[in-house]
Amino acid sequence: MSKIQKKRVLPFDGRVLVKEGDSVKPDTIIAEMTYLGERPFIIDIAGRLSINLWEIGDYLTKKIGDLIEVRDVIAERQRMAVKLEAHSPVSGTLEFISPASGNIIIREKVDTDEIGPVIVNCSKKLNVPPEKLKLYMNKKAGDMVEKDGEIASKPVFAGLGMEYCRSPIFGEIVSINSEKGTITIKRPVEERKLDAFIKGVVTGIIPKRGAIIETEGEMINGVFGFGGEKHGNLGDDIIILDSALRRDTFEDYKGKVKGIITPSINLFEFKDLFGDEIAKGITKDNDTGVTIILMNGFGELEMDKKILKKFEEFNGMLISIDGRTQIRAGARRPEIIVPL
Amino acid sequence: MNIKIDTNSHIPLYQQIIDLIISLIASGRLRVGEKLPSIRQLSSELTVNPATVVRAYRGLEDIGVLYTRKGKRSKVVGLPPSIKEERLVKLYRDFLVEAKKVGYTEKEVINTVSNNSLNAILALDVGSTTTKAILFKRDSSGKMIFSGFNQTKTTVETQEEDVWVGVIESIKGLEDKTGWKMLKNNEIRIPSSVDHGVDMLIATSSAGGGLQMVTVGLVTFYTAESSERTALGAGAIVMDVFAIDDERTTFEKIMELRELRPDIILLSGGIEGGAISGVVQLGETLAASEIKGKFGEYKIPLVYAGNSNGKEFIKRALKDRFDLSFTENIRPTMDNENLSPARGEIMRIFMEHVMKRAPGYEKLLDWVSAPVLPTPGAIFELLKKYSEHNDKNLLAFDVGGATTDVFSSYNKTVIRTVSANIGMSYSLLQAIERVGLKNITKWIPEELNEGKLENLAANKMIMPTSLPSSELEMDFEIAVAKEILALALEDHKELAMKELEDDTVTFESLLKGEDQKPKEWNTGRSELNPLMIDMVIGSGGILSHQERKKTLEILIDGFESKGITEFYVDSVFMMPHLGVLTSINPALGLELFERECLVPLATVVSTIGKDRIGKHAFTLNIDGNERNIMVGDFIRIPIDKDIVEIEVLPSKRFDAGYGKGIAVKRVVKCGQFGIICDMRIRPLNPTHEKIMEWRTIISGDKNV
Repeated sequence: MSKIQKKRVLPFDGRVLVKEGDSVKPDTIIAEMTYLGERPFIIDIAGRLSINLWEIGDYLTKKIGDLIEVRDVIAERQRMAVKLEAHSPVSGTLEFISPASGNIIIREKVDTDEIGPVIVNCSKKLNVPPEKLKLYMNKKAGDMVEKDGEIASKPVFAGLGMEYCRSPIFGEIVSINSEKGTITIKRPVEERKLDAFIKGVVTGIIPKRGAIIETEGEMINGVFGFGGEKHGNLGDDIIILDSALRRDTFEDYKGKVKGIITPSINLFEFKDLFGDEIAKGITKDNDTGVTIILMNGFGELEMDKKILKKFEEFNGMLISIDGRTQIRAGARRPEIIVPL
Repeated sequence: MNIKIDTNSHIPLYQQIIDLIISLIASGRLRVGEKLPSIRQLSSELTVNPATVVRAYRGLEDIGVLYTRKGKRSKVVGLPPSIKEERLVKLYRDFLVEAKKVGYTEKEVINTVSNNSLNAILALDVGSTTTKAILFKRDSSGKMIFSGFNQTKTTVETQEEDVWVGVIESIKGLEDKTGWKMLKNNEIRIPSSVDHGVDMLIATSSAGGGLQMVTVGLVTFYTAESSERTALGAGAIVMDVFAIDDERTTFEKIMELRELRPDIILLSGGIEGGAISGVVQLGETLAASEIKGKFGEYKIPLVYAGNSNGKEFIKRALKDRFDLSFTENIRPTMDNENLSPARGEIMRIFMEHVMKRAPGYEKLLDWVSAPVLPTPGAIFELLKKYSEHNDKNLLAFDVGGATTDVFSSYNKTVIRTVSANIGMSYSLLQAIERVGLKNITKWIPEELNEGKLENLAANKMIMPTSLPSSELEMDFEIAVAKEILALALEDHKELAMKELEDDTVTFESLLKGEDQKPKEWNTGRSELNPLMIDMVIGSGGILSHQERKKTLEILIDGFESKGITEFYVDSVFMMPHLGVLTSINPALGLELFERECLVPLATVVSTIGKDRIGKHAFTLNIDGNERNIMVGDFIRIPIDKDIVEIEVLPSKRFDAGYGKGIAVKRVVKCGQFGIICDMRIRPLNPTHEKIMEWRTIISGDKNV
């Protein structure tokens, strides 16, 4: 028995939902985040004002940290009688000035009303019947559109000009309604929840990002695996085989169990089930929903008696497994965690 | 103690005592370990205040001349380093004057002294699967000889995760085998004495387990594909390819990146003059991923080969998290690729940094007498030095667990290539994938269950230190080795030659740290002509630790030699170690290479040309005995001499090196197996009976 620790961290800042000392189960959500994906906009100031790269600082009207509205003047230059101006294509914050490249970065700022979904009535805007709107569309469902970007357009004044229907937000065209003549746009926002993966106690908090979960228990490594993090009761959700896993056995268990711990499998059957990417010695999550862990290797091998006995002792316990493997230099072997 | 001080001097009394004691040590009148008089004794002898003696003794302790334990008399430890060095320089100058009088140059003096001051050398190679230790020791006649070899598994994986553990285990085994003690409390005894210790520890390392990369590009069909091709061209295993449009969300990309443990990341994207926001976004995704290296938390090398306008932003976003380097854009325009500079940079980083990053490697650094070289780098050093003193064109193979390295020395230009995705364990399945299982099974003289072989190979990959346990497993490894040899040679020809044609970067210039290609390359070699290869050397576990007849079988079946070619095997896989030694002491390194490392196996004679089976190919003349060799023949002629002169007179349809029908005469090494005439029709496609027949011919049960 030993102390097992798992550091669970969100990729971006979010909210941590547990505190130190909390007891958690594998499926306890410990942190969550909403990723708006605020994009960096790079603007070639030197090019727009026709100045040397390193001079951009002299012509900027904003400084780092300033909030900028879309179409605000961000740099200007008086050239003879002409005033050259650079405008921001986006609302955001001036984040970086690069005299080496003559560019600046404005980080997009997304307000809650810019996430969507928003419905734009392009049929009304362009004054075309809803059922004919698709003839005027510049985008199709699934396409991305910038804020103020054209969704649809119609020639006016006998083709001398154009009228546009523009998007109020940056996002994906989710749907086009040809009965109402409306377009639905939504910013691709990712909502993520992070679970504890193992049963244990929160022993540390990583502010805004996650937590450290600790448990006393047994950690057993397999030699090869395929499939990501799973948890469940040993014997029911996660089963142990004492001889090689067969393709048909796997098919039988698919959908009924979350994990299979087996001494071995024949390589050709493994390839049939999971594809032939194994040569690299790297495996990831698989889409069968079942994580496989090999304890001995490939071929017709039997489970080591001692290991089998150990698993029998743990029968019925809530365990966590992770089959992801990276062979080279032993970077990563499958894990079976049994909190005791 | 005879000390006299001058009470009238302006020099303080305690300082006079300090100076006097130092001069007594320097003159040898006081020796290391000798006890000094007690404070009371000396103060009464000098009639000075005891506090003055205390101050003098303390002063001497401070500069490391004395050591005092509480309640004990002070002991002499030695002279302070500055005075020691001053004395040594004076002694050396006096000695040099004497040496020059008898005709030695300073260089000769240094070489002779360094050659004779080494009594025992311990050499280590920390490979991806095994850690090897070799002991070289002077024999009673004063000659440095190979004294023993041992190997254990490399302890880079979980449980130990510390290569030093394997190093110590390997040395312990070597102590048992040689009876020469080199460790004390798990520390290496340096320098040597009469019956234990070593004077020098040298080491090479390739413990990284091959090169694994993640490539990141803007659009899957353009830059992402180019970056994948770049990585593959550098011999890497591409773990994953990320692109903005690859259908994974940013979150998914980050979570997947986080799980990978690459050696190097290649980031590209954007054509020259194009938009850079996409590349910057990719950079930000990479930064957020907090991706870790194979061996834990350190800055992973990241090569940026995208739109050059993005450099500044990439530097800003990634400099704190990655070890950044910048090369030319791999996709300067939509229609053009420029992969060589990025590929060259990847190879350089792999050899110079990645291979040496294994856990515990730092401890090794504390002990070594010279920088630890990456294994292929060390072999390259050795062959480069060897080619300076030798006119032979040679090819050398180092077949490892994760990588196979090929070296060619041709017209004195040495080139190396590392095929990071073909090897005997970690990269076995990749190698099989590349050559096809059928091409491997054709070498095994029995009916086979392919599924069983595949399982065998997969197990070798996931448990790289396992050894073959049956005849079939042995045959399988031999078969794989033959194909790996041929495949790595193809890679060598393709990669090295491509670099030669390329003006922007060459392997050689990379290795030399130069940007320009040496001029002679344009004329010296445009292709690797097998007729011009005089020597083939096999190294690496599968070749060095193998029955010699099987090593020879692998080498001659795997490498299709033409003309007159001597085949050698590295006796116990010591080429890397000798490479490091050669970098410090070239004379000794090369002497050991020729005497202890190169084991001659046989000389193979074959001619290039076309004719029907059974037709005369050439006449072989050995010491006046002529023998006609026909197309299709595979004949071994045992010779009981080390060296023999042979003449090969090809028929008018065949060439032995100097043109069709022109005779070639040469003095060659015969080795254990003598001269082999190999006129088998290539590509070899043998029946089981033929394989057994060829084996019998090599092993000597059937001589013609």
